[in-house]
Amino acid sequence: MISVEEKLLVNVLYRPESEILNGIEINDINFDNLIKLASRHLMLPALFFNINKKNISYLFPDDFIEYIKNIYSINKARNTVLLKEAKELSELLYKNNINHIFLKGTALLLSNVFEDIGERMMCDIDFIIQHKDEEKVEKILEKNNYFTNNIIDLFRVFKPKHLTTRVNKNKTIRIEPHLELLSPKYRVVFNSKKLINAFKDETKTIKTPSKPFLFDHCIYALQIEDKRFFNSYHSHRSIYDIYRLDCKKSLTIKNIKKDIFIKHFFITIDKFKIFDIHIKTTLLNSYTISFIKILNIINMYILKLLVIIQLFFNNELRERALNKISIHYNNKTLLNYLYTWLKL
Amino acid sequence: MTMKKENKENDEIIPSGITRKDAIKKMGKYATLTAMGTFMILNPKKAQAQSASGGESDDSDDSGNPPPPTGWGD
Repeated sequence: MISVEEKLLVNVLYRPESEILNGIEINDINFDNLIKLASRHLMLPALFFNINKKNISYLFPDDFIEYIKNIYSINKARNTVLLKEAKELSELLYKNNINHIFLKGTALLLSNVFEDIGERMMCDIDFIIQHKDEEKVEKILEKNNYFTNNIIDLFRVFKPKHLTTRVNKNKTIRIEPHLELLSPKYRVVFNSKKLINAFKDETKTIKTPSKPFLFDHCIYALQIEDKRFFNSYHSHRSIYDIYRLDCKKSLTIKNIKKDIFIKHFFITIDKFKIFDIHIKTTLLNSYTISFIKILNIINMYILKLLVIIQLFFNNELRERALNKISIHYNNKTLLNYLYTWLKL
Repeated sequence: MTMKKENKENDEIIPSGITRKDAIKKMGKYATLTAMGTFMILNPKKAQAQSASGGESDDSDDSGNPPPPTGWGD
């Protein structure tokens, strides 16, 4: 069931002015709920940009427009800084002969996927380097005042998805140097080998992946890393990214059908009728999706069991667990939880 | 009982010298409805603090609302 506020959000983002009120009675809209929904999906700036572009601000209360306009302006200013800092970082890496490629939101902004740089909310500057450059990059970043508060993990079996995030005290946006695209357990599906050819190209500043790669990365990261494949929640920010990427080649039914994760993404959002693609779920597909979900639940419990076993042998972990328990006890959430549980 | 508690919280004077009630009024009612994730991104210092404490995205909330759209983990 789609709420009337979500219907309006979708119409404003994806449909022409004449269709904004299709199936919607504007008096039914609760603007408080619209703010809650759009902000939870990090879509307030995109909402304002589209309202402004389609000249439909008359449909909304003045204070609503004033508020989202402010959010959009702050975000645009922040993204301007982000782009400047990404370019400075790229020059630093280039000078030191480090082949690097920008990823995710930074890559989308640098590739001019959006009409306006204020549309997309972004947290940090993501880029990927080759495994062989890991130590060199750590040293360069350290030498150039990109500091980290996180502990560098020296004992690891697999290459981490990214090195510790860093912030330069003279800059605003934190940076995240990636070694891989997904966590180790998901790399069978999607990994940095997809970028081999891009890395083979001559080292230069401001390198971004191809649009089909950005399309795949957006969906795999959402479906696998963020576990949307398992809980079936959608993300309006990712839908908007895919829409703006406008990958006609990737957006063919044949292409979508051959990959269960991409297919699941489009099945989840089919109710919004944004893309002109209608995919039917077959019985075999439903079973496959259920099977993968069950595997994930089993995996989750095994991991929890391993942590419990570790509690007996790892003093540091035990101390952290006790600390957490005491915080919850002080907040009485544990007691509340127990009370609710017992009451049921 | 709850009302009293709310009033007490609203009258609480924050370090800047204005009451919480005034601060909320100044920001507009929509600010109080905006998800934390939006402010965390717009306020880099807070976002950095979140990152430093190993802040990963929450996958759920108590109200049964969908998890915040970490999207590509950024």
